[in-house]
Amino acid sequence: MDIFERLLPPEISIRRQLSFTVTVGVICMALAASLTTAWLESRSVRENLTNQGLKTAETFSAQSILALLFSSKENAADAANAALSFPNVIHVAIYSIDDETLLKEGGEPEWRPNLLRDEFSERNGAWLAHETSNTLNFVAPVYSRLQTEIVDESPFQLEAPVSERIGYVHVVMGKAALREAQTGIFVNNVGVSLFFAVLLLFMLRIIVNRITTPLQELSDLMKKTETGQGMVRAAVTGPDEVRRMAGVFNTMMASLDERDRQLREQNDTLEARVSQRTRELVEARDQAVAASRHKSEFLANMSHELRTPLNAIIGYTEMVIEEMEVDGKEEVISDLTRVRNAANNLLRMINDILDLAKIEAGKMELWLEPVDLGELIDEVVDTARILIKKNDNQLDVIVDDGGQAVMMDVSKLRQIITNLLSNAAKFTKAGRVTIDAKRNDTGLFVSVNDTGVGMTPEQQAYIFEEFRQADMSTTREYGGTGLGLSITRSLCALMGGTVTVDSTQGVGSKFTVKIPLPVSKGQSSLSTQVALHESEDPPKQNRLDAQN
Amino acid sequence: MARRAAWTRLLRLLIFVSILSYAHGVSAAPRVAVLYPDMPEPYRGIFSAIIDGIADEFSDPLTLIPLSNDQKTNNAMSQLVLKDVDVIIALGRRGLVTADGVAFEKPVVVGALLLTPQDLKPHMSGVTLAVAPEVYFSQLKKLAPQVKRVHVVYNPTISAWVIDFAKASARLAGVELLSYQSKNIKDSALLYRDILRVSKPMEDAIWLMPDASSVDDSVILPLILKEAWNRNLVVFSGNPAHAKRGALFSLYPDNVLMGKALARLALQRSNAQVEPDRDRLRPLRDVQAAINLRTADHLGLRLSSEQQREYTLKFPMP
Repeated sequence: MDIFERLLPPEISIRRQLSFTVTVGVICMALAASLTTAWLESRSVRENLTNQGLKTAETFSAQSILALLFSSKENAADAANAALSFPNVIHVAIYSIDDETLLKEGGEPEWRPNLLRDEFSERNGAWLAHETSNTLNFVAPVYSRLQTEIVDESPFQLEAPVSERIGYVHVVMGKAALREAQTGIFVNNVGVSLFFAVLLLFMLRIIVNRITTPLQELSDLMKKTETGQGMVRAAVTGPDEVRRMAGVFNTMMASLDERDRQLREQNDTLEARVSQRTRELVEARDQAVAASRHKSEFLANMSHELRTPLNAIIGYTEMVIEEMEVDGKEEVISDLTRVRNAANNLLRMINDILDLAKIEAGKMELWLEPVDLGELIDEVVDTARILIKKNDNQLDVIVDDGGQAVMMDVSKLRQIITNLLSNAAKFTKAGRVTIDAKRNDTGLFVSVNDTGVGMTPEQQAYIFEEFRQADMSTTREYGGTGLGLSITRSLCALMGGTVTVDSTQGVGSKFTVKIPLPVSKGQSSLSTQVALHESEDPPKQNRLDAQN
Repeated sequence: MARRAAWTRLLRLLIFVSILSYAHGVSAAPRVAVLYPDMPEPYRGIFSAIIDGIADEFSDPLTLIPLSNDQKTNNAMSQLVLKDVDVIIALGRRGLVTADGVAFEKPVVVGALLLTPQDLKPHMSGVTLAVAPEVYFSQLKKLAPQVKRVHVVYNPTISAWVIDFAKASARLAGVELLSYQSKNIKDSALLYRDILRVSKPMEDAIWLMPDASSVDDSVILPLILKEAWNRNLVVFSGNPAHAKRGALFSLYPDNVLMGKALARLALQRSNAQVEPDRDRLRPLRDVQAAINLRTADHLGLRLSSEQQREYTLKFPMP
């Protein structure tokens, strides 16, 4: 089976398999038929040759009677020559009953009969006495009268005529003609068989082509479908099976074409919808970008325009306070102080808004410098100490700067910590606020923990958005603009870091800042919202996940 | 046919008269049984003709016993039938063998067989198929009177007694009989070769004996006939086939007459006429003749129409 599999792998084409199988079969059949026929015919030829030899021997025997009777080979010369003139007879001899050679024609034979053997006396007619590779040796006894002359039962004689055995004849036939005939028969048979085998194969090729060509065409057609050609249809021709295949293929292709058409239609519809939606989105985006740009520009302009008169108010108010202090008008000073504080608050708010606008506009830059973390924390704690004491809170400060300064934008870091500490102090009453700042090789970590009001998970989800506090009542109760945490997140992001919150309502909150070190100027990850660039390029939308 | 029938009737009458005149105490005709081989043609016709000849000699019906090739049956059947028989005429080999095989002490006459005296038991007599030599010589002298010598090769076992007759007959006929003994065909062949070498045209004749060892039809006969033709020698025999093939003449049995002869012999034996021992076996004298006219013509023998009419068979046949 392995040899068959190797000779005829199942993956080769049907045409080859058929051709190979039938070719081998036809050639084997032709050879077998030739060999069988040649063998049979050779046997027949041999039989004929044997019969011819036997008859020749018998004839020669009959013609040798006189020669033996008269012991005269001259009497048998003609008979010997006549026997030798038979085809394939190459040697004849006449032996007396005493095994003496009377006549020998055709040279010395390969084999000479030993007539004194018992076997010879038992024989009545001619027989094939011996066969060599080259010759057939026939021996026939010679009787004094012909056997045909002896009547079985003559009623007129008391005893049947006696036929005496007077000698033997030996006829040798060469096998050359037999071999020649056998070779000729074999060659002819093989030739004829091969001729018909070739004819058969030629016809087979036509038949195979008739079967496989439609299959091949169908296969080619199927390949075309691989390239995505539609509307491919097979010609329904060839044998019944192939026609059925072509019919099924056509039905399948028609079904596929219909499905393709439907898909194309759906695709077209979808594309049109997507295109429409895209247009709408682009328009909406453009509008949003424009609005944002306008807002930022407005805010920047407004902040600038508002700070100028506000600085004037603050400046003049402080001058008046100083003059009132000189004049000793304490009641006026108090009012003026309120005015000045209110103005300062307003200025801070405007600064916050200005910072946010800068960040959104991508105009906020980092100024890196060595910062002593302990000093910075002390400075911020001093600023916030009043607010902490105001709500009867206890402040714990833990600082671990690793014994070395850190390269950081100090104002941004200060603002971050201040915002977080201010919020903790603001939303905690008679509680504990803990600030923990540490630095290692990978980054700076600052956490502000309080035991304040805490937040719900929903509130935690939006507290980093602009102008949002935990709820609207918070603004009323605690004040503030709702920009602090948004600015904090944006500043962290600007330095490649994050700020996260972990809070439980009624228990407290913990804000954690992680800033990977070293901070680089170019690492700003950009704005928290849509950043507006001054270039003409379309605005890039970079999202910073505050939770990251 | 009418003439023949008349002769037959006359012969019967003569026999009847002679029987009556010689009858001593014989009050009735002998009861005769004929043992004959039941064989297909052409033998059936031959035996039928012989039986017809026998029947012609007797007024009472014959007891015919056909013999098959089963000798035991033949013997048993014959034994039953032969109880009331006075004489047996045994025809052919089966007839002789059967007559010899049954317990029958009465006379037996044997015919239609090539016989030697040794073949006959004391109570047997017969007519052999070998033609009497004087008939040959008579025929020879009629046809070719210039022949001086007759050569004959014979098997002494079978034909010595005939040769004895022949020698006497030859002398009477005025020819020299040169006889050569041969016991086998090879000797015969050599003898014939020598005879043919020394024979002189029209002076020498060759007599072919019917015994098998002296001549065979396939090898020696053609040689003899060919040489005889070439050397203008007369060849004669007892086989009409030889005349057909080129012998000058052949003498062969007239079956009916032979039957009659057997009947007469049977009658004599049944009358207890004791024959001299020498006469127990008689050569055949009732013969017909065949001639080859072409050979005769080749030998320069001119036969008149009347002479030709004496021959029952004339070759070549028209």
